Amino acid sequence: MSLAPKLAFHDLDDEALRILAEPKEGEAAFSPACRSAVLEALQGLRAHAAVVAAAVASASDRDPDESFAP
Amino acid sequence: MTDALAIAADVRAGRRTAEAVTARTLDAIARLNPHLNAFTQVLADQALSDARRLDAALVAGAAAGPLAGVPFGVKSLFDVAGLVTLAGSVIRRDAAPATADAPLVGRLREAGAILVGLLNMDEFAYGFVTENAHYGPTHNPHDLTCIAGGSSGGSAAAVAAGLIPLSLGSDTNGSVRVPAGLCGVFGLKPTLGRLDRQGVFPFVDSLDHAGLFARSVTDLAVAYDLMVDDRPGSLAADLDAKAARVLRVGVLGGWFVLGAFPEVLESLERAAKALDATPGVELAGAAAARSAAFCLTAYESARLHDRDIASRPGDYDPAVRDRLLAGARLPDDVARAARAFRPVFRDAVRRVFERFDVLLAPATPCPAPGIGQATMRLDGEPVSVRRNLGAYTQPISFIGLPVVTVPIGRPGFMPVGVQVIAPAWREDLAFAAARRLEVLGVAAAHRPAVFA
Repeated sequence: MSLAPKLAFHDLDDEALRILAEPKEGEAAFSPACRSAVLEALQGLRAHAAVVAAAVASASDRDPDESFAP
Repeated sequence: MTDALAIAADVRAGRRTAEAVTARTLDAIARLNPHLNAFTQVLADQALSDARRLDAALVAGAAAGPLAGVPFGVKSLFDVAGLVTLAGSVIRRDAAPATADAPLVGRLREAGAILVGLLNMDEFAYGFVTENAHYGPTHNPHDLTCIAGGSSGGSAAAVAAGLIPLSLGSDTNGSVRVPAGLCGVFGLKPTLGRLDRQGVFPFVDSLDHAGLFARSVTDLAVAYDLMVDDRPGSLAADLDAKAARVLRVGVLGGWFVLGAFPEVLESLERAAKALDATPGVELAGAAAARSAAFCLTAYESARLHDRDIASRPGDYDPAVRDRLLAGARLPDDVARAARAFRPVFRDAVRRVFERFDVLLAPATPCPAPGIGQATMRLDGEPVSVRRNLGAYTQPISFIGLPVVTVPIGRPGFMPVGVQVIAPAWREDLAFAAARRLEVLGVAAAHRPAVFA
């Protein structure tokens, strides 16, 4: 168990990479430092998303109660 | 500055005027806020005017409210009539001023409290550090080189320094509990949906809670009573009786102590021992709940800022901008999965609460890091301060449970906080355990040496 799960760089979304690296007209252009920070944040999010997907898959046969009722 | 109830008692009895209390508060803010940077806007003229009006009404025989003359501040994301709600940003400087107070602000003012200013925060509440690129960092009153925590850092620091006895904040992933713990004050994050969020600038709609800070459990309870719509009776009135009852208390292990610093574990143990708690209680799925909160936060906040982040990215705090840009690229199915896990985790926790009235967990893995400190070591690994201060708070707010964060008394040392977590809608249980820790002398909001 780790507080900072990591995924490989190649798991990042192609479109996200394209927008950040090669913005089209009308899309903001970002500095190398910004691109680097965004890609790092995306890596973190991808890792968290993988953890969530695994947890949901393992609980997929349940019918959870949506209410907050005590 | 004394506690809120003592001030109100003095004002009601005529021992002090609201104007004198307000003037003294404003003087203290003028002297000390330059060292703290807790307030981003001081409402001196308005506060004095409100105080004089209250004094005149009391002299004329009007009934005094329970918080008569008590100075308070609000995180800069609460609407205050006539002011632009900046939410720690500059991008909203051209927005229209609020036409009315947020209802929670209004409740405190109706009770006689005097609003003295707006408090610093991470931009748009996205952060755990209150190192705001536009307004500067808020300094921890116990060590000015350290962060106050966030995102309600100004709210916690102002109360910790004794400038005001009461403040409002918000908590989406830990933004009340983290700064309360790091600054050594009491903080309340109620059940999701318990307190009105109208007039509170949104961050993550499905996770946002309003909350508050105080220097005692009783002050916290009195302010909470004033703000709750849907619960008959007074929580504050029954507090000592409930605190005297024996509660079934569990201490969370596993995820909630992973990487915790020794002083954090010692403080948790002190609280556990005082409440005769059962150690090592597991919340299965806590790591996934934290991850789900992370994803949902990124996804929803990015969509809220979709237009501005595309057209004016340079006007955002870079630390916030980069995460919004990343969140904007998260596909919908990530958010769907995060939402799907919520009831799963909620059910698992509900089963644990069949055995316990409250659960204890640290508020943060460590005492306050330094301002500008990018990484810290948890479990032997260097990890980001900004992303991991809320590791123990995020799973709890993900399912909206009520928490009172208590400062464990460590005079002369940096504060450490413990979360007292109750089942949904049972704030009374969290308050009872927190009050018991306060009565036993385990929990206390010690005045920082430099502000004593």
